[in-house]
Amino acid sequence: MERKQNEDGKPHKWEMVIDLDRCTGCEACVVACHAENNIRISGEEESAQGRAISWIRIERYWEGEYPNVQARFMPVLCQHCDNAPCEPVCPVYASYHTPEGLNAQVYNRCIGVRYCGNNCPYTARQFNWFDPHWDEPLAEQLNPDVTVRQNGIMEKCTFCVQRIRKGKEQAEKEGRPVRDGEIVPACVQTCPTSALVFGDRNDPGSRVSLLARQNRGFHLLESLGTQPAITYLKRIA
Amino acid sequence: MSSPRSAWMDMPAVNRDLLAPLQGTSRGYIGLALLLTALVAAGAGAWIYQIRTGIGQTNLHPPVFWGSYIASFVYWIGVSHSGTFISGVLRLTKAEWRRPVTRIAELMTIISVAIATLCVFYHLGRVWRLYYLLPYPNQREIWPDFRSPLMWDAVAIFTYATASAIYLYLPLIPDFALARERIGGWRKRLYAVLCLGWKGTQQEWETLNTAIRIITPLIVMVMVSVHSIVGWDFGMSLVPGWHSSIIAPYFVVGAVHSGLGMVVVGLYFVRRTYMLEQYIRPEHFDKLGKLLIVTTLTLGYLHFADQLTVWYANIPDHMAILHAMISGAYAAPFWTMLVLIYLLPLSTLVIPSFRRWPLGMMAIGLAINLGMYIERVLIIVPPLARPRLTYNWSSYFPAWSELTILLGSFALAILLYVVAVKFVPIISIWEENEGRVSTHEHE
Amino acid sequence: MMEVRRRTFLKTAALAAAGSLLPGCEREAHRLIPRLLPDDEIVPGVANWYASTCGECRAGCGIIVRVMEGRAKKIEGNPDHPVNHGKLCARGQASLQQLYNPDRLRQPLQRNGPRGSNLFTPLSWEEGLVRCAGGLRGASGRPMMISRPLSGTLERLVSDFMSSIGGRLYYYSPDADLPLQAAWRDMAGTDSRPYYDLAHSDYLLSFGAPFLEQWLSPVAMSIKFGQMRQGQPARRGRFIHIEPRMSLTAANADRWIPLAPGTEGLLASAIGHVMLREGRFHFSERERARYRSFYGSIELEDVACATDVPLETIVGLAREFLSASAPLAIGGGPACSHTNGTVSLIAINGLNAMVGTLAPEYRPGCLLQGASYGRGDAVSWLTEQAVMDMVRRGDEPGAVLLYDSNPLFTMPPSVPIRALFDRAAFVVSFNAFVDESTGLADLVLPDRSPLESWNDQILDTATPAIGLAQPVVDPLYDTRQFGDTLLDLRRRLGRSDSPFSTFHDLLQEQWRRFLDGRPHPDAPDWFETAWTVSLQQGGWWQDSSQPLRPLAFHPTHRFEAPVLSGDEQEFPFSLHLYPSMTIGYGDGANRPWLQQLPDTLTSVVWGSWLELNPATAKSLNLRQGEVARITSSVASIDAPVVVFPGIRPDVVAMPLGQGHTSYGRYAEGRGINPVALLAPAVDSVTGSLAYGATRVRIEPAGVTGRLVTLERPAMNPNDLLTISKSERSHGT
Ligand SMILES: Nc1nc2c(c(=O)[nH]1)N[C@H]1C(S)=C(S)[C@@H](COP(=O)(O)OP(=O)(O)OC[C@H]3O[C@@H](n4cnc5c(=O)[nH]c(N)nc54)[C@H](O)[C@@H]3O)O[C@H]1N2
Ligand code: SF4
Ligand code: SF4
Ligand code: SF4
Ligand code: SF4
Ligand code: SF4
Repeated sequence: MERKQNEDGKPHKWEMVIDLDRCTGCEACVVACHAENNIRISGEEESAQGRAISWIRIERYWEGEYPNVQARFMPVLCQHCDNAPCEPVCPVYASYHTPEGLNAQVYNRCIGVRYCGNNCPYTARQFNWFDPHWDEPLAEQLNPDVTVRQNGIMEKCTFCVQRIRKGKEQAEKEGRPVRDGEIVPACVQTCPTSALVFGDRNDPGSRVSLLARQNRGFHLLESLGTQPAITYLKRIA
Repeated sequence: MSSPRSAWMDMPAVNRDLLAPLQGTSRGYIGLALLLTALVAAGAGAWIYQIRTGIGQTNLHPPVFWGSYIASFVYWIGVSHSGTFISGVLRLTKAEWRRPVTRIAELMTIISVAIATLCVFYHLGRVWRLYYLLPYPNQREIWPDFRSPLMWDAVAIFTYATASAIYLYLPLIPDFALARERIGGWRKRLYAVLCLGWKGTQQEWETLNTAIRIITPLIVMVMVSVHSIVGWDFGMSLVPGWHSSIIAPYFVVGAVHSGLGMVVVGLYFVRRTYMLEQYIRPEHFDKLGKLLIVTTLTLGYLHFADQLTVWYANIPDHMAILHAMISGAYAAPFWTMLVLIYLLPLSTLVIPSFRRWPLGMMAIGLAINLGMYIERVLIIVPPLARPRLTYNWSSYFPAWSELTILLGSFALAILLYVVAVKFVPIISIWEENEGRVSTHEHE
Repeated sequence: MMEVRRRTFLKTAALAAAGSLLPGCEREAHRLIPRLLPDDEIVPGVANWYASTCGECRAGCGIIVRVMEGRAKKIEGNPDHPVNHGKLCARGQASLQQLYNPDRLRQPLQRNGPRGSNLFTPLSWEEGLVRCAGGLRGASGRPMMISRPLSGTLERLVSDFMSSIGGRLYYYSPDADLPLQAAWRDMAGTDSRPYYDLAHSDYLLSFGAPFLEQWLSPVAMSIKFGQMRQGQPARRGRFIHIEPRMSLTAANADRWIPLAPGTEGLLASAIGHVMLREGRFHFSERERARYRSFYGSIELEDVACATDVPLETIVGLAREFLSASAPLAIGGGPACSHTNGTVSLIAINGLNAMVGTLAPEYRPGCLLQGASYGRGDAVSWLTEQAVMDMVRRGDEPGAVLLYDSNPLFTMPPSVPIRALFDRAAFVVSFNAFVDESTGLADLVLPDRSPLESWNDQILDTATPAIGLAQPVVDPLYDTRQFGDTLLDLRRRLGRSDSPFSTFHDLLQEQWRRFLDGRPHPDAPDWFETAWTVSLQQGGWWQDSSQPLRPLAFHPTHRFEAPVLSGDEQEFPFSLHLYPSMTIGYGDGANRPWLQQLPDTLTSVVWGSWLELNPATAKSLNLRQGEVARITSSVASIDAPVVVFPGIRPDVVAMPLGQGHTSYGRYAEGRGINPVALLAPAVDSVTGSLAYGATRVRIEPAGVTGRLVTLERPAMNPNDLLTISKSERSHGT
């Protein structure tokens, strides 16, 4: 793969910031991701079996007891770990790292051993246990830029790689570097509270870099050393 | 039945007794074979259905991505250790009593490795893309990723299967030669090919013994490495409850434990079916019983050391799994497993007269194997069902189709064994004879 | 409709390229173009983005729709739009599944069996329109139209149409929040809606207002909430939420105060009382007297007892509110859903008036006067009280016309709405789906999807703004936009000399008149250009805020206690119904993306549930997933239990929206509609349904039900019980 560079001549390093003090748990991001990425519709039966697929979910944790109870929301998606435990365990290189810091999934290559799924500490990886189905004419909506995943294949958040590619192609066509905020994944695009921010971490002036350097920042399960590309900002109070 | 009965009635007693199982099929045998075939067909049907519709026919789901198929894979690899351990280690230690036991065990190895491999195939989401696991040359120059413990596994199992086949085959050559002499019909030609023109010259015997001497330590090493690597499939991961340095030796000893149990079961049935009481004697059960005490204690020690560390360190991610097993959703299978693989064997096998009671020993063998199967499931499921982000906790029990496929493969294992007994002398005839000669010499 | 020629298009496309249409969002794909593009300009494989307006709720967010080869692929927020600034809520994202819904009606239908049998046969538009005109002509009584609240050109057309045939137009929507509007009118004397400037507030005191859920303008509110939290330099707004159940909004508060149901107004009065006592205000004597008479006679001890909020808390809240630099009190949701809804809201709004938040002119964190409800008093609301009155009086509507509303599903069976349908000689529905109400129709003349339709809407923003909706895809089916159908009917009934044959023409004419009244260049084709620009940007809006009329506080109502239906001994629990955060009051129930979307707090998908406090569940011997029987004085239903830590022990809650008997494959036979339990209690001022005014009793039903959660699925109650013992938390 050809390396596209940003203004400083460094390769891009795509990262995300999730501000838990802004996230309200509204789940607009969840539907946006379904709409953008041709994620199958999970019926009641599938959901009951624990097989509902979402590349981003809002985990809710209760703290305390009534009346001093608090609900905490945490959007969880693939953390695009720099040191991704899901990658070396895949026997066929279906889970691999791109030069721009994405954890990519080669659907065609995946044989469905699901080791990667076990080894992802964030339970970010989702599996296609059957072929997907859309009642006509729901399939008219499918995004032509994104593959529909068939039976037997692992999938997960791609950071909307199709949008990253589009953005880079456009910048190249116009002979300029990619601008901060130009490439926006679907979940980030819709998030009403702007809890989600995406950008190039190798650009020190990008919004994502500025936010990630805040002292509220932490990484999910940081002690595991997976070096996630997602920085969470603590909720206050 | 091509050869006249009289032709083999005059053979020396040992040859006659031990070739007898190769001759003739009883009604019961046919019935058993048909029943097993039906079960195998049911399993095959369920597998085909699973391939056509999707791996979703199982009850697997995130985060429990592995379940009964992988548990069965681990279990069968464990059983496969019987052959190599018994014959290899006992041969190395020159244990005389091994002679009637080795072949019974080695056959188990080959068959259970095959079944274990099948279990991996059952498990794959896209088994039709299996060849991606092979390092074949291709335009895109993509190879399998040898950083994956699964690739180590593939290599180790391939090596183990090959080595075990050779290891089974070498001592069979003189027996095949004997069978060539004594058995007529189409099988004569088969044995003629299989015995590679064995004539029984001094030179040939020396070569054979040298070959066996060379391969024996090798196979023992391969055996230890294979189950270590199967253990590392788990140990190399980040999953709490899997990520443990003790897991390789623990898997090896566990494998030997269930393997020995299975050998006892096999001995019992071979002895009963073919009335080989003179060859497989209570002392053999006694010796195996003593070995089982050793494996019980060793396994128990490793298990205890592992869980004690988890309990004392009290790391929440790990404790969640221990809790689930001791008092939570998996308490029933956990305590049953402890009884079956530790308590029951230990409390019976320390009684010398019990060890010499074949039926009782067979029952203990079965108990150990049932317990070890549960143990394999418990190694896989509770850690996966308790991921670090507790929002995603889950539970799992195999679906009907999984159970059907697994029952089918169990039936296939027995069927293969039952058929093999018709082709292969189930006790190594020349080694048995050799043993008798040397005993006489020493007397 | 494709009358714009290539030349015009090129001109406007150039305009789009030159103008900085989308600052900060320069994706190649975002070449917003009006959908006037001739076919020969469509490049296969290249996406076009069209601006329009979201039709899923009354907020009217601006959308841009990605269209490839004539098919809409993705909807996003319009970055330039004054309501939603490029953002969308979950329902807006899912609106494509309204367009592509497999159960959307594809042609006119006529009843073919007894009313309510849901047996229909297709017929042509010509036949359908002839039948409809005949039905209206033959009607003996006064026809009534039940419609969702309308705005802009369509509102004008519909109300003109109804008066031309001597009928009446009624607005009905379960989320109309009439007490909110009534309270505002009562204290401020205007018909406009309040507009909350959350973004700059530093102390937000919310009495149940579910502003982060489906309330008023969820996206606009969420944007402002995000700004309030982390968008103000060196200041983070504090947010207190008061409500018997922890809603999604409450879960985002710094502090959640559970209070006794229906006592929000009482608590606000007590806070006002303390403020009046402790604050230093520059009131005139008359003003002071007004506040005194409203807040003065409160006994704090009694309030603490009735609301179940400790006295110190009440005093503390009052002091915090007084000392904040930009305090804001808002009320809604459960505070509106009792028999004292309007008066409670008056008491809440009064707090703003007292601290001057109710500003005559804009200042940060204030309460503004928003857009007005169109024709104001000219339109009647079909409140539950109105329905009961009509039925009691024996009114017989000659015909019922139904547009984009489903009162038979959203009104409780104890309100006799069905009788109105039964008495009507002719019922015609313009809904796009065969829902419960349309099931009673004699004739269905299905509307198009909002994404196939023209529309405009006056927006709820601080600055004057009108949203414009254009068809972004060619119609999928043989349906007609409601406006076109009405224009056609009007001609057939001979009630029109209007020169406009299509709704598009009418709408364009309205815009011509509207834009003509504003400064514009003198060029002969000025309107074509201005119209194209409006289509490109999805409407018209100004940057400057509109002048505000001075507001004051002169309430005409006094506080009253809530009345709950059902004996306290026999029915010990208060029933708290709330619109589902995913499927709302039920109109989202046929979108699979919304059905599969977990309720964030309980993670339930595809169904209904009953929320019980852990202590309540224990005392009733009910565990997660087990089925409870809920009985009120009017009905009894079963629902699976969710053990929910964020609810008062004497309150039980259920989401609205499920339990459809007719609304397509994804909605039907799923969950249960809890309005069945409601007694016909209404707000004392507006007469709209008091969702929270019913008491119930709970028993184990002894049957197994189905509760599907995404949190810890595939686990049985025993597992969950053992897990809760060793529970740990990962929050931060
Ligand atoms: N199973 C199956 N088989 C099919 C088809 C199918 O649908 N299914 N489709 C059929 C059809 S329609 C077609 S067109 C054929 C296509 O079959 P091929 O013509 O084999 O097409 P490609 O696979 O694209 O391979 C063309 C080769 O040209 C090389 N190449 C690329 N650019 C250049 C260049 O500038 N100069 C030179 N010299 N080489 C270049 C590429 O690297 C590649 O190796 O396949 C046919 N076969
Ligand atoms: S859209 Fe934004 S605010 Fe809503 S749940 Fe997702 S991250 Fe949180
Ligand atoms: S979050 Fe999981 S799937 Fe994503 S890169 Fe990390 S380990 Fe892999
Ligand atoms: S499921 Fe696919 S990606 Fe994951 S380890 Fe197996 S082959 Fe690799
Ligand atoms: S970045 Fe894209 S793929 Fe990942 S969760 Fe967001 S929308 Fe989905
Ligand atoms: S709030 Fe949501 S549903 Fe309502 S108009 Fe905006 S995007 Fe549409």
